[in-house]
Amino acid sequence: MSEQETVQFFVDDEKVHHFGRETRVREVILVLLDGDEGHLFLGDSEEPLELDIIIGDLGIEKHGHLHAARCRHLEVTVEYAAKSRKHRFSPSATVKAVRDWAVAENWEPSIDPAERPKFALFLPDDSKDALPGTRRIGTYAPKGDCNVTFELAIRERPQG
Amino acid sequence: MGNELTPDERALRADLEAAPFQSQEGQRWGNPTIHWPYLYLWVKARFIPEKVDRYWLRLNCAGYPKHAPTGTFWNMERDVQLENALRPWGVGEVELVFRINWPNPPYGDPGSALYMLCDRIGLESHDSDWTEAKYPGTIWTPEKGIIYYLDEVTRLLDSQEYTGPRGP
Repeated sequence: MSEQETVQFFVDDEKVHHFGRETRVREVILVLLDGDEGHLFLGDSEEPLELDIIIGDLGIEKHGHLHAARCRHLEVTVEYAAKSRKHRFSPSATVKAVRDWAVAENWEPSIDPAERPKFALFLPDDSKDALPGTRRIGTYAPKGDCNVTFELAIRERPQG
Repeated sequence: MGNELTPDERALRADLEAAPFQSQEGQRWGNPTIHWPYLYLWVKARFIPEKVDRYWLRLNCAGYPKHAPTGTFWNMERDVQLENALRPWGVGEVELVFRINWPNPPYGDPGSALYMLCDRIGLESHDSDWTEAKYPGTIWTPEKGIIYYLDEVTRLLDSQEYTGPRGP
């Protein structure tokens, strides 16, 4: 297949895929989800693409960014100070978007707005590495599960 | 003969050609140019009215990825370290990482590196046992690569703690 007949996509900013311009969204999903059905999100959109749209009609000239998800929404739980808050997000929402929501929640003790930049999200089983803010939260959802849990904590910060 | 790339330059070029870097080119960073051992590229800052929205970096990548890159904001027109008044600035972590009163000899001149543990000078100027114990998540490892360095810089430039160029 020639390059003109395909469109390049970055999937979760980690891998490159090329799809023919005549490929339908539902076919792309099957490829990206190993044969499972699901939803496909383009760029920063939190709304999934229609399943019967063909790639050539997306208006992409050079390359696009995709996220494929088995769940239309994710039930996100954020834990902080032995308490938790829940909210529904699109799987294409970024870690930063969830963090921004979480730090603005009414916690006890409350998080001063001036202190909010110090916070990051972490996976419950790995308290070491702060999650990258640009990552799609759907990449952290276990297969077959529409729930994902993060811990909110102060990130490692240099001291003078 | 004579034009073969060294292993460190080859490793850096491979990472610049991979999806994690390419996917953000033109968005969070762009125009990478290599004059070995230096990598020049711009990084994006959050929108603040009437302020610049990108800064150039010059990173010394010798020894990559075993050794972390080191560098600072750069004036591309004059090919010198960016003047302090034009350097990105802010409060909290931004002010500390982009500080202009560090490093000092023998590690370098003030402002010539970024005060973070994924910068080579940031690492070398601190006791390694102490940094590994206190900052296990942010310290440089070869597996993190150039993306992690750029992620950290762009995270700070996208933070509410970033307020624009430092000014006179």
